[in-house]
Amino acid sequence: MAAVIATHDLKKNYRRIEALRGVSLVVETGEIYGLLGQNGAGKTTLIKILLGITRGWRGQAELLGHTAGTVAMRRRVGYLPEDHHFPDYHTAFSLLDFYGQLLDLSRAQRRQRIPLELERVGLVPRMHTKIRGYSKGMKQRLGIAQALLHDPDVIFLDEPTDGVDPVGRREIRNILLDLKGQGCTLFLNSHLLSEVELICDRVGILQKGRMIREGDIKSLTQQKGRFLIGLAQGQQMPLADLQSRGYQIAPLGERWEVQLEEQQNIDPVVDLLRAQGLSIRHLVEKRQSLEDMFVETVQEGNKGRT
Amino acid sequence: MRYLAILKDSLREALDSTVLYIMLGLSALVVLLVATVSFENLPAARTFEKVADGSIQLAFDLLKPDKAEEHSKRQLSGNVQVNLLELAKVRVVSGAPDSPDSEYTVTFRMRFSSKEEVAEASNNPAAAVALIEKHFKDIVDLGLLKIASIQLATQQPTAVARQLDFEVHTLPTPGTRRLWCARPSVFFGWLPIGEENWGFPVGAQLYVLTSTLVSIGSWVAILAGVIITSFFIPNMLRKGTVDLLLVKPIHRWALLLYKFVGGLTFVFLNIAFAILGIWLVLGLRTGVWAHTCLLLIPVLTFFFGIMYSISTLVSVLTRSAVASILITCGAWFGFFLVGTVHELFRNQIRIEETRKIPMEKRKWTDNPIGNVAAALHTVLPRTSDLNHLSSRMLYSDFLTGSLSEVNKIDLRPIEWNESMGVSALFVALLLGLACWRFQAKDF
Repeated sequence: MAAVIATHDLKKNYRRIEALRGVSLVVETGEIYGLLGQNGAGKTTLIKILLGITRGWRGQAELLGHTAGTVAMRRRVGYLPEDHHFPDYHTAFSLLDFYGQLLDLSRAQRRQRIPLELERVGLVPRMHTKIRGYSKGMKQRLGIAQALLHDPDVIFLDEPTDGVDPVGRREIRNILLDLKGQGCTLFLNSHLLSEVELICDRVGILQKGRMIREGDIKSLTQQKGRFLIGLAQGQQMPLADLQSRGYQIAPLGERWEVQLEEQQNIDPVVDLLRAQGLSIRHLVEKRQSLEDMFVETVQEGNKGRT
Repeated sequence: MRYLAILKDSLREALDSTVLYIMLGLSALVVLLVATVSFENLPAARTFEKVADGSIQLAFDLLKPDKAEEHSKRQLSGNVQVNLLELAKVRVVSGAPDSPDSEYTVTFRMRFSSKEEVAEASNNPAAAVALIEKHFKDIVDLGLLKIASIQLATQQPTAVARQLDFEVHTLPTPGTRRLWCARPSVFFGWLPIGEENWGFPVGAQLYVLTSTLVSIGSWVAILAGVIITSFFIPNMLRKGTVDLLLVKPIHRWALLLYKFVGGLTFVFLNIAFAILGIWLVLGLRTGVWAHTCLLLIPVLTFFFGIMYSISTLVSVLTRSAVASILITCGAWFGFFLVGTVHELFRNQIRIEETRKIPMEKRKWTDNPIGNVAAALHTVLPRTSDLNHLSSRMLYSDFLTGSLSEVNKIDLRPIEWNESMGVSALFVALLLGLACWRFQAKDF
């Protein structure tokens, strides 16, 4: 797969503050990539460099095969900034019409695409109302509509579900998954880690301008050697037998958590339970939530720095 | 298309502001008020009476755009002699009576100090005719009237021996309407101004009216324009708004220049609305079509362009509408001050030169303040020249009839190419700086 976004040793200073300290990442076509980090970690700076909003950076930054920030490349990019502010004298329709003209969409294209995108985010009934009357959630939906207006190849979304209610969040999530299905590449900045966990293929964690961890969600949240086992109702776990064989086992609610050592395997545990005529109703390798993994990683990062 | 989109966006933003409606409302009110102005032509005798006593010539002279120049000159043209003539009789030769479009034979009475002088003038009237011709010269030169002939009247007054009557045959010109004395009123004649028989040349009245409107109106329009448009760029540069524009496939400099032109177009439309309105209603109501005054639209727009270039640079540097309003108004006052001080020194230096005052006694020549004003005037926009240009245009429309005629009487030494060039360069420099800063700025 071709790289849509590629940075190498990307650095950016705001006077004496080092916002990015050599960030390298690659996002491939069709991926949903989530960039995580605390406030001030450099997430927005990274996006702004890629889009040409922030200048004066060092290193390499490429978007769609072009050096980041070129005018021609921007035709193929959609962007929803964090804390966006739309001119409130516009209606949703007139705003998209204005942006459409700046994007060189013809009148016919605008007439066709604007209602379509507003329909997608559920704003058609209010599309001729002034934006100053919109709720935060409606403005957020409008932000997504404007980012999709010109059918871009890659979309950058900075906190796309900020201020949106749970139903709206689910709708936005579905929109993003639809876009992924259409082959669109998505780059997401979000503090809502549960959302990120649900939709992103890969995530990177940025801390104080450095990429401290990166990978696919599954591998990052996997807790190697921890399994949860549940037996049929009324059956007792043969604790003594398992402990005598060197397995660490402890109750966790109605289930049991088995901690394997380096050389151990879960199969002998299953064999023992079956041999004793017990019915296994639940067996799963235990995973961390993305949030736990994020907090753990950030704390480790902080310790490492101190 | 992008330019139009940004222009439309600027208009939408302006329409959202109540200041625009106040401004348009005021313009419409002024146009409507001017539309109610009527001029009732007074009898022909009234006009010729004022020509005879020289008061019309004096008024036209006093209203000249280069008033400062007059510090070193006489107030009244040397051609006119007060108390030379008095009106005796007006007879219409062809056309409607008391109409400026008619042909008249006007009898003027000239007084002499002795019977001998009367006898001499009666026998050889050439000298007296030449004096009358000279008395009319300013009016004829301005194209306000044609003199077909001047001759000694066949019937002379007998009651007083020390006077002679001369018959002046006048022909109308397109400018005669401007010369004609009329009594003004507002609200379609409902509220007359002045005494029943009070009146003055229509051209002079229109000049005073439009000069007042333009000087006050343009000041208000440009100030309102500065206030309204000062929000355009800071709003565009607001965090969360600018990002959405910068990711569009458009160069930053183009975005800023389009926004500048958008603001300029907005003010152009406002000025055009007011000037075209005044031009139309005055033309319809008086028959005087002041075409040159339409050039005020680009002149005032250019004036605003100078101010808006300052506002644009300040907006890019500070992102603050308040800062851009304050600094722009400060610069406006600064230009006015520099222009006024420079003009004052230039006139006084000319007077000192005319009077051939020795160098060591000259106060104004080589004065440090004058030198600073001259240096600043060299590099700063010449807004005072633009004001002067506006006066010239109005003078040409209502008094001389053409700009070329104004050139003959306006002796103010302005190099128009240099003046416009310096102002245009100033605008280009400030916009260049604003684009350069915007291009390099992180958002």
